[in-house]
Amino acid sequence: MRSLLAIELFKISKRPRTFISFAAISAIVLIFQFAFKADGENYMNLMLQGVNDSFQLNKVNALNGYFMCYIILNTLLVQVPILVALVAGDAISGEANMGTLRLLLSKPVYRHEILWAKFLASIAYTLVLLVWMALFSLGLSVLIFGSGDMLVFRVAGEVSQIMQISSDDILWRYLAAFGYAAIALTVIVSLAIFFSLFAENSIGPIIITICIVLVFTIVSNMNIPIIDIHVKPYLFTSYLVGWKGFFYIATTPEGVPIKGSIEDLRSIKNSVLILLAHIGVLQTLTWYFFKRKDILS
Amino acid sequence: MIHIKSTVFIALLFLSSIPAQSQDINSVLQRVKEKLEKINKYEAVGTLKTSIAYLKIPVAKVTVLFRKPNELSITSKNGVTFIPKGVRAISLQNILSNEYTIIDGGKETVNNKTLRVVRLLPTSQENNIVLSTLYINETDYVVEKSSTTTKEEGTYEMKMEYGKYKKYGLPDKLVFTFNAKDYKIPKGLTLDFDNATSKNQKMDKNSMNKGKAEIQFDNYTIN
Repeated sequence: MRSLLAIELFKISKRPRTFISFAAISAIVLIFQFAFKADGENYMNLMLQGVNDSFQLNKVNALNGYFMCYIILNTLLVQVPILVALVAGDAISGEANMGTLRLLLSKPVYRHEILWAKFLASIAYTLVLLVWMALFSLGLSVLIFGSGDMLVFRVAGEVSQIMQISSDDILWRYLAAFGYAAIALTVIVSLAIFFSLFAENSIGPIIITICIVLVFTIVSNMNIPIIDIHVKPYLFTSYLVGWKGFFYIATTPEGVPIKGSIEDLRSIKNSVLILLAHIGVLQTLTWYFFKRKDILS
Repeated sequence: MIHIKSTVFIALLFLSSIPAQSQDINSVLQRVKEKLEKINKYEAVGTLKTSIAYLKIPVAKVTVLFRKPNELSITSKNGVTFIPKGVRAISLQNILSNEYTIIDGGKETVNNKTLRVVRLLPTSQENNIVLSTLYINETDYVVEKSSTTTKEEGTYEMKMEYGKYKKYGLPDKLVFTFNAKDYKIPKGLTLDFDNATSKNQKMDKNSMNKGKAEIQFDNYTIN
């Protein structure tokens, strides 16, 4: 199993498309950091526009690395599924395209071991991508912008809110958020590998996965009551942004944030369970069809 | 005849009581002013707790700096501190530095204390303050409560609790209530996408705009 995994990781590392994702993430993060370094104060003022009328704001490094990372993740974690699909969608269809699938499956190894190796290699790629993202969006941002208390702007239904998290209460939230993102992206990996099973080249499964993610994301963001109640709960994309829950801090009745707390832990747990269920179902289906896959033709 | 005499006596008594009452409230207010005027500058360290529905912010450690005649600044070392705008505009030093007409409001009981009520009407038309009502403790000559109506920002209320700095007229605790404007940001700007398991929130608009700020002063450095 280990050698199979090592082979799969080697294959991923040798594909040029693997590094497209790293380059894309680096470029997006650097552009964001440059833009905010040049004109971030205006963005902050825009967000605090309504508050300026009633309050005199005494801002000390409000535009810090933690805030930057949150802004970047808001944008990036919607795009990263596409980057993950680029590699995972190629896992089986790539072999079929090159004509190595028959050779691979005729080796004296179990099919489920091959499938697991491909699955774990794609997850490993996703984790490395997330670590890269954390280094760039959090590490580099803290180096450039410094650290401090973090402001979180939130719109929940009719209510707009501003939350402030103390600097010593932030890092664990990012750790948890990246952990959550790893689970969410594993759903995309599972989906892409599943479609990869039925294709003879990797373009098809990659495009199908990207289309599903895009369409579902658009529907997930529609604010129409009937969709809110009857559609959103059944779309996995509605749970991809659940990582933000770690930054919604619970408060005392007087509105003072409670250190180390989460406003709605139950919702996060539910989201994790639903995502894990998606992974389970997709993995089972992939295993079922992969076991019966005809490699004679 | 007796009737005329008694009427004249009552009228004289009434007339003589007006300047006496006015003088009295003037002297009470003067004593309060004298107390505050002893302070040329002070620096106070304390905590600021701002509560309003749309803000979830921690208690901030603040430094309050005052310099005569009415320069007041509140600063904090980290994060963003939300200081209600009215705090500066309606500080007692600021209210009492204006020219005003004094109206005696009699006495009122607030928190089991009988306080002298004085209403101040600024004489200048350009002043943002329309009316200030001060509730003065006549034993210590300190303002325990005040209510200030401004032209643009509505009515502010302040309650003061005094301790070891009572002789300077400086409170240990100040509670300030105010009206704030709505805070609304477009969803697209926050990139805030709803999680299907989290419930959308609704909020009573009245409670949304009512704010309260509490400053607890730990230490003053005066003059």
